[in-house]
Amino acid sequence: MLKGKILVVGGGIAGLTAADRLGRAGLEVVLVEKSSANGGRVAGLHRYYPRLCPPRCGLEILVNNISGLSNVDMRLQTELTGVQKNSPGIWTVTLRNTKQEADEYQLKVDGIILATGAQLYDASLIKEYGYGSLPAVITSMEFESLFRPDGPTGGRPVHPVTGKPLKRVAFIQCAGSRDKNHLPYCSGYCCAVTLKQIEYLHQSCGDIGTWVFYKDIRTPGSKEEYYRHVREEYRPVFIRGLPSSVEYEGGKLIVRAEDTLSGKKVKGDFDLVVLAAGMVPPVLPVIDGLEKDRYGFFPGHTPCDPTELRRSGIWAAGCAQQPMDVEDSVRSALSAVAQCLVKLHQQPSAYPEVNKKKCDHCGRCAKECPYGACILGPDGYPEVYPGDCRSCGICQGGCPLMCINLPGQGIKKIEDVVDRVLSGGVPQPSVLLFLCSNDAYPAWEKLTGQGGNIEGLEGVVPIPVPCIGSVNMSWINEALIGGLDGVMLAGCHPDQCHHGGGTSLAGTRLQNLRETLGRMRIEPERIYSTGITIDDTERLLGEIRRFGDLLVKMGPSPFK
Amino acid sequence: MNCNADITDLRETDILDGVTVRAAALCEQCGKCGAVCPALFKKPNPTSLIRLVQLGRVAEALQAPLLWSCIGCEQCNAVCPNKLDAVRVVRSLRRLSASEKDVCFPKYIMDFYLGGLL
Repeated sequence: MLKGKILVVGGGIAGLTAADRLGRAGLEVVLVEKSSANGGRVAGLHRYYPRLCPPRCGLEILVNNISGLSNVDMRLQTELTGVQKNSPGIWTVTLRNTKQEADEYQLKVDGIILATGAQLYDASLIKEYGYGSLPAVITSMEFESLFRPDGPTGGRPVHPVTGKPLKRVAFIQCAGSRDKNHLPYCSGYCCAVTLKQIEYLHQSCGDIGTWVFYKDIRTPGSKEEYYRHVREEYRPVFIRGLPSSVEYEGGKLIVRAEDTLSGKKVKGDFDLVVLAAGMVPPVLPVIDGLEKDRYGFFPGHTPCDPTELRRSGIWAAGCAQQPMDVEDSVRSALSAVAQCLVKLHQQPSAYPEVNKKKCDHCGRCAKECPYGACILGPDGYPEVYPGDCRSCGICQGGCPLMCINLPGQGIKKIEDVVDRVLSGGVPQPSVLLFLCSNDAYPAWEKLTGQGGNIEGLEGVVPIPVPCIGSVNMSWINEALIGGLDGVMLAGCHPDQCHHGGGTSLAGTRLQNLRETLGRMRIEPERIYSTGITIDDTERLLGEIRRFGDLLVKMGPSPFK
Repeated sequence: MNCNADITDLRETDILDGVTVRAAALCEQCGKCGAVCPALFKKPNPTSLIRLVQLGRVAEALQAPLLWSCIGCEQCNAVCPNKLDAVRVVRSLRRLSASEKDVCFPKYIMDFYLGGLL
């Protein structure tokens, strides 16, 4: 039986789905929800698209399943206030009862799924649409409540203030989204939501006019069919133009826009204006080293692994990843669950070992580890949790004393090459070529065949490394002082490094090394670094040749 | 208006400055500027004026009535979701129009100014 304890943060559709599946897989699950009820945003919806089925159905199944699982501990009114990693592979989380301020306690868990959802954008910030100051300007979420028996109109879709039947309703898309003054990104879910709302408005009100003000309708995949269905079946008026203002005159809401397709100004009066408001990232306690995107979401390593965050053992699910609809939230929760199970199940990959005799506890390895797999233990020595390590070797690249190394990597390899150079076994110019095994090394192999070399440049000694960030500067130093003519590093392009900062870390370290070498009368030009993608074989060849030519021109190493 | 202009021939935009061309490229034709524009415009309005620049049909843009009825109030800039400077586009086009030898103001503009002088 699989063992492990997972914290799921958020009791919305993503969190419930994750807790249910993890629970069924036999893991111990703690599900925390800040509010007093489960269901999150979904609990406030009238219907799902495209089937127009009630959300309660799926929610109840999930909640019933979870209540039947003794290994899932559902804690309502509980908030996550802190996350720390004090021992390898174990997160210490701080939880707080939202009813009793002082009631704070800690738990140790093996993994965390952040399913915190997103907040809705405050539509009153879009001044020109008058939300919050004009009557009957509402958000799409409030529109949902007009259909709910527990809503302000008792489930009758009528004017929320006067209670009269609705005759003309305007939907304004991109309310806050795709706008540099508000949210620069597309919230992704609002187009289909509006189509859905048009459908049930027409179904329940019969004689009604619906207008949609939009700039693009974004209904990717099968949602396009739904878009076509709504257009054809209910024939709403689509105005391709965002309104510049909503005003209140004589009991009506006046919407002014330009229909950009005809180039004409349009003005319409409506009983109700629905703003398709966007989503804002969740508010979370600071988790050291967990990178957000520029907006505050956790999209992961796109496109190769959207579940992979910069802290191993933490996954984001649902709208915490990026704005998304229910279908995508469920899908994202399931993928977070899958990755969580993989992590608890997998054979650990190669991970670095620490030479405690040499280590002086500087903590650089722990600081630079892109996954938080390496931490300083209670004795002050670095500890690497194998399950979290991605074997990138960035720790070994940064260690000033070379005391943390991946198996098979290390200064020994370099010393061997130096010995060969000194014994005359390497033709000139002798070049140590470090190649990132993700991209540059396969390109090199394509170029030279297995174990081959470049004609006229037989002195190039290739050394594959897991990431260019794993190259320790002392190796380069050793090679140059040992008499090699040059060192070349072929990594990935800085923004393409799978481990995030590998290439840029190597760049910074090289800069420092060049300065040191300059003081030792070694020309800094003897070190060359470049970014190579897997299909860059010709460029790699060209760069190696150019570097070889330069070294020939510079003459042999002064240390030879 | 030349309706048969080749929209793939964008070289005409080269006569405008780079900043203006890049600003125009940002426009996604949402029409918010057209809805706030207080100038008593005929077509093209700000949206389609920028569209003409995007399509490289600068000669056509130079003939647009809006070019001379724009009062530079910048309400268009204020509502633009892409924060683009539409007034800058208008100004650049005006400058271009004025720098051409055969600059020809629309008749109603001429009437307005000459009428004002008399």
